[in-house]
Amino acid sequence: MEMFVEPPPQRPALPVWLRLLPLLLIAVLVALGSAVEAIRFGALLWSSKLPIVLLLAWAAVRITVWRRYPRNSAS
Amino acid sequence: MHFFFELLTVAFTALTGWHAWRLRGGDGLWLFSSLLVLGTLRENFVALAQWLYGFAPLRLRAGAAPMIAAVVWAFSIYAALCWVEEVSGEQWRVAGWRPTWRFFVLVAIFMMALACLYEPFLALIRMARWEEGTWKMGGVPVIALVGYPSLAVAFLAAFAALGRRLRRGGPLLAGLAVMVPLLAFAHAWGLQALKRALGW
Repeated sequence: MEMFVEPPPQRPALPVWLRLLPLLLIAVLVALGSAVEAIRFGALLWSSKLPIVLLLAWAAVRITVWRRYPRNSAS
Repeated sequence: MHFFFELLTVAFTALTGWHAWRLRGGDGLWLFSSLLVLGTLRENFVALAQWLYGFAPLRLRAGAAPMIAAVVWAFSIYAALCWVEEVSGEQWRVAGWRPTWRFFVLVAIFMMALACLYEPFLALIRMARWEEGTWKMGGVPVIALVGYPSLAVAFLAAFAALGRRLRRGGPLLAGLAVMVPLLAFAHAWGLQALKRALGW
C-alpha cells in the first residue's frame, strides 16, 4: 500500500439552501411525520422529534453565525 | 400510506445522491454508492437471517429487503455527514483525511437523534416489526440507539482509512468491495448478538 497526500479539492460555491439540501429533507420528514400523526392518529410525538429538531436548529444557528462572521477555515 | 413513504424515501435518497455528486463530484458518488451497497447488503442479511426485526409487506424491493430499508441508510448517514460538516467546519474528503474524534461523536449524536425520529413513527404506522420483547424507551428500541450510530461511524472510519491508503479508481474499488460487505454482515450479526447477550 502506498501513502500519499493530496490537497483538499475545491468545492463548488453553492447557494446555502442547496448546500443544506439533505438537512432540509430531514426537516421535511419531521414536518410530514408530525402532520400524518396529527391527522391520522391524533397524536404528536414531539418528545421523539425533539433531538433532531434541536440538532437542525444548531446547524441553522452555526450557519447564520458563519455567514455573518466568516471563518478562515470554513468554506 | 406505506407506498407514499416508500416513494418519498426513494425520492429523497435520489436527491441526496445528486447532492453528493453536485457538492463533492466523483468522490461524492464513490461515497454515496458505497452507502447504497452497504444498506442494501445489510438489510438483506437482516431479512434472510431473520435478525433484529421483520419487515412489513412493501411494494418496492431491493432483493429480500424492502427498498426503503436499503436506501434509508445512505440518506441518513449522508445527512449526518452534512450536518457535522456544517456545525464543526471539518470537511469530509477521500484522500489524506484523518477524521477527528469530535467528528465521529457528532455523527453518532445525529444518528441517535434520527433513530428517535424514525422508530416511533415507523412503529405508529406499523412499518417496523422488532422482535417480541425488544426493550424500548419512549417508543425507541434501545438497540437502535446503538445500531444507527455504530454503522455510520464504522463506515465513515473505514472509508477514511481506505481513502488514506489507496488511490482512487481500481485500488479504492477493491478496498470497498471487501470492506462494505464485511461491514454489512458484521454489523447485522454483531448487533443481533449484542441484543441477545444484553437481553435488549
